[in-house]
Amino acid sequence: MKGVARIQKRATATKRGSLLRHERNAAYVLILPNVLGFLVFTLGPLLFSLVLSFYEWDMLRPMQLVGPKNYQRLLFGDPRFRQVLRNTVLYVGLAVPFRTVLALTLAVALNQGIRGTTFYRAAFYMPTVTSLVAVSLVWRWIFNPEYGILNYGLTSIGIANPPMWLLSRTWAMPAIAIMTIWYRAGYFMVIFLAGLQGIPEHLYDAAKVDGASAWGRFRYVTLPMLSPTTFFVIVMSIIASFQIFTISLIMTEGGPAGATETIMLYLYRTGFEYFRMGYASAVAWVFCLMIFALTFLQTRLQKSWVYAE
Amino acid sequence: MNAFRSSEQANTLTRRHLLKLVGISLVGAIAGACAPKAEPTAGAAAATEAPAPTKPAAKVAPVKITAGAWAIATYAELQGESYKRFSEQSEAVDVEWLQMPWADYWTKMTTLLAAGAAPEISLYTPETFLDHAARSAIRSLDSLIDRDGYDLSDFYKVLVDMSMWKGKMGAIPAYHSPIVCFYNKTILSEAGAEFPKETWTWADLREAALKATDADKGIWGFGLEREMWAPIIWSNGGEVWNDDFSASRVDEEVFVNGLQWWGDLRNVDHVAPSPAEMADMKTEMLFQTGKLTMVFHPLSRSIPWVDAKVPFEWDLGWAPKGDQGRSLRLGAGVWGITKDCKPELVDAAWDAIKWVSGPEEGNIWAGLHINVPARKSVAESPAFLDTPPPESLGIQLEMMPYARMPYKLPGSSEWWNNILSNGVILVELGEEKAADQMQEVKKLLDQWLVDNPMSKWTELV
Repeated sequence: MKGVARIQKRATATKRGSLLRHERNAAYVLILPNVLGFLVFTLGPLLFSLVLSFYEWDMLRPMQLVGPKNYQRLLFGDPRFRQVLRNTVLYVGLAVPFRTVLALTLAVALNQGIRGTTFYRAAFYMPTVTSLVAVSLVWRWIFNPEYGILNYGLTSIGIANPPMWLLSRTWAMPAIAIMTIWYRAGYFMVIFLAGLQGIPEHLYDAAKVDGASAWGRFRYVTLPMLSPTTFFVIVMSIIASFQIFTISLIMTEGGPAGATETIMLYLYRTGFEYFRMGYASAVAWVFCLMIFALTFLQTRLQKSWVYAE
Repeated sequence: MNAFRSSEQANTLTRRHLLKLVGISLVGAIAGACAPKAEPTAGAAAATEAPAPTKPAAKVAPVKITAGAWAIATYAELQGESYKRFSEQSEAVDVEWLQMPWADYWTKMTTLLAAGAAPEISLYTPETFLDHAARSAIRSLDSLIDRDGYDLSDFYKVLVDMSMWKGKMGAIPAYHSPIVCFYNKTILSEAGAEFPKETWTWADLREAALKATDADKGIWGFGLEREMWAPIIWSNGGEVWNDDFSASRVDEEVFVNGLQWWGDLRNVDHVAPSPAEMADMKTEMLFQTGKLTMVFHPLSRSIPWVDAKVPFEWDLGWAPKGDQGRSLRLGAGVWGITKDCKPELVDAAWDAIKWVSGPEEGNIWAGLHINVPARKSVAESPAFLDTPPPESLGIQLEMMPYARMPYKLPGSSEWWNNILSNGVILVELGEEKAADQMQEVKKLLDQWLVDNPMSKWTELV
């Protein structure tokens, strides 16, 4: 009896193990296409570009090993890279804070339960789903210093010499930032809205009982409870903003005189127009490490201001 | 039945087997898609295609080659016609036509060359020919020219020179586009201004522009077309580089003065519209609508107002003279054989190029006024000259002795389109003075030379 029970127990364990093995194998097979795609189209090129960054390659002739020369030039001897880095940082510094504040403001407003919330939510989100190329072209017209509606509005309220916007080295990048703030605010507004709706109502009730004003409830309940969402929004917004390419290409082609040339646009031109794929790869990796370092720093700093339950 | 399996588990295992098969099939499909393409064979072509009705019955299946070019606006669909006519009359060669917009063409070409899959034949501009020739991406045609005794004397010398790199012929001229002065005769007549003539100087052009400009009517005397500032400087003896490309000369007085004069047309004289006033319209559109009196352009830009039959009279005029004579920038197209053309296909590609560059095809294109024919015999024939508008087509040929391509220095997409142009734009916008800006540009250009020494450039394949 004991022996039969032992055999039956072993058989059951074997059956379970065999079943688990089959299911595991099926799972591997199902994710295999995705993994293969990642290896072939993402990780492979990534590693190749790392290797390439130590070579000089114009895509038309064999590669030549130059060692760290590309990195040395990039970090210590390329004034143009410093210029595009400044342009990109300026853009990020303008776009991210204002876009975050605007998205939060819209989300808070929509969270009040006013009439037409659904309509407003769709309206604010609409730019995000519109073609970026089409939006860029329309905003080029809006920013036209002579015929654009923006300067028409500014002159009608008494501003005598409105900016030249995309035709001015000073105002071109702020103009692009204004456009992207409008374009992407809706996307982050939806994220904030989801975060707001996750804040327990009893916290607001408790604050009211303690005599907190609306501003007090916002400052001491909403903001802290929303901090994980805010952290996510800021990190994603910074990463996306650093990679700006299409907008500066279409609206200004990086001009006037390189004032809106961003790192991604510089990288693209270096590789495909100037035939310096090795150097472009070095730019890409330095850029990647910069974003990684910035994200790491933010992750470390989050402990000081992000509320974790 | 297995004592340790239920019928349900047997069914489950069967579904798992099915899932495995699906997964393996997907992997196989991906692997198949990633496999290198099979080598083309003449036999395969014969097996899968029926011959064109007008082709004579081929004893051997024709080889297939590809010719690529960017699309030229309205006449994009006609561009492949030359190769189609060649294919129809050729027993041995079929040419597939690859065409795409200018903005995409060179990115695609470079990528295809990197993959070793570029078309056998490609059209090049002077600048892109240099970029590719100096990186050994174009085949030398010397042996073919010598073997066949191909006569180059019918082509304009400047085009032949333009098609050479390091003493070797790398391409055959297809067309050229001298940058000439288009002018609105109606506006100039009403303003009492002179028409451009052979003795015109830059001061005369400015004088006519001042008379023609009428701010109330929104009419401008002259259009600052990007990159058309160079003839002012060249005609007065200025240059971007010295002769051996060892240093830049953009800080010299003649260069600075010429560039400042160009920018002052807009910012001081106000005879040229600002970018804001142009409202994203190109100068040819302003000319077509009668808002721009004079502009420098290649002939192909005239197509819109030829087709639209504009309500004003217009013509081509002489480029103005400077202190050192006359100089005008030359645009052109040349056909070359890429490095990816396999040795066994070179003769086929060469035959195709000879056909499309021949006088027969030249005569077909002459009357379309898309460009100026590359062959003297065609350009100077009634096929081209007697098909107005404009009336003064012949001026382009008279100005050929003064035509020049910018510089025989590769990398112009960086040193001209970016470094130099960024400096010029600031002068055109009136944000900087030419004297100051060109000092900065000179530093950048000289540094570019250090980073890209002449020893970096290799020969034709």
